[in-house]
Amino acid sequence: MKQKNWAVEGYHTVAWLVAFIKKYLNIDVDSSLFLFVNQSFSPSPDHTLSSLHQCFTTSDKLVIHYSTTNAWG
Amino acid sequence: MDDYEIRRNIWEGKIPVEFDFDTREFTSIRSPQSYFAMLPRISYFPLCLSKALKFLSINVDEDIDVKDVWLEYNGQILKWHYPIGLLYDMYVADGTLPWVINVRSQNYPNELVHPSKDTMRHIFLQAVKEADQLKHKGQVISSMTKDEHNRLFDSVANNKFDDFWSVNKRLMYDETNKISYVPIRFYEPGSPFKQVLISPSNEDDSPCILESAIRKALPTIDFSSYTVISQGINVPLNTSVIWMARNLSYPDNFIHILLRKS
Repeated sequence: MKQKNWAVEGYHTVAWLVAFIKKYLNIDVDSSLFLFVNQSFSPSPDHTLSSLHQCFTTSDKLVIHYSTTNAWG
Repeated sequence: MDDYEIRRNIWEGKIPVEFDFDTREFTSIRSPQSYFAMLPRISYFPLCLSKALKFLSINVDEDIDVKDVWLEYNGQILKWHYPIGLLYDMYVADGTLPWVINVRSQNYPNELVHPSKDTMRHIFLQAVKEADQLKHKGQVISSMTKDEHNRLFDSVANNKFDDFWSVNKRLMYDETNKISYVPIRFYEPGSPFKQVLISPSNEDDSPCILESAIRKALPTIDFSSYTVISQGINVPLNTSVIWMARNLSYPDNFIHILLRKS
């Protein structure tokens, strides 16, 4: 991903973010995309980004890794 | 701190469900058009549907693709990855039983996760990992084997309390790792859940109680207009959250709290 840093509205959910990244990377809607927080778990699709940020931020940024395979599962 | 009886009763809690097959979509269904089942509150619908689907396949002439089947109550889509008890507490405000659930086969909602056992296993274990990330910075779950992780899920799927707790006790009671934050989610029907960092103790070392935890997530809440429910129980607001974490959590290691407008 060229642009690594984004500022996103907190009310968006993980499901929204997955759709956004798929569109940005031209990944087929029906393909798998896994998101990971702190390289340790995949958040529920219903998690809002603000909840994730509140709970798992490191130096004010929420760091999310993405993969088409279940890399940290 | 360990209330075995409570944990056992929570595990064994069941909800009588009537699966009502939508006659507009299952046009050839013969009588009876319903299938009754007692479902564990702590389980998930995709893990409990095989008998209902078998009943369906016997009683209809048309070919049903199981992948098209989804569940609805009162116009609400029942999410596959939410525990059955949480969904009941969320959507059945008047507490009617049996819970009459509408079984659909058309217009499968896009937002539903895939109800396969593998997907349920993945989602369940990720929730357990997230809970341990909050409790122990993930140190306990990552010290467990993949086999132990699978035992957590399989024991829920097979309804085996002792198998579950033989592994889960390490996530609940770890002597070397004090609990940093209590995994807890607050639900209001129609909104995404809220989750914030809740320490088990206050600054003066007194145990954090449910009321303070709710206030942290919803600072402007007016308690007089809400009922606070978890596991089908009206939980007193002065209940210690660490006690709730150990005794009222769902198998995914989260306390799921329903805030219902009275």
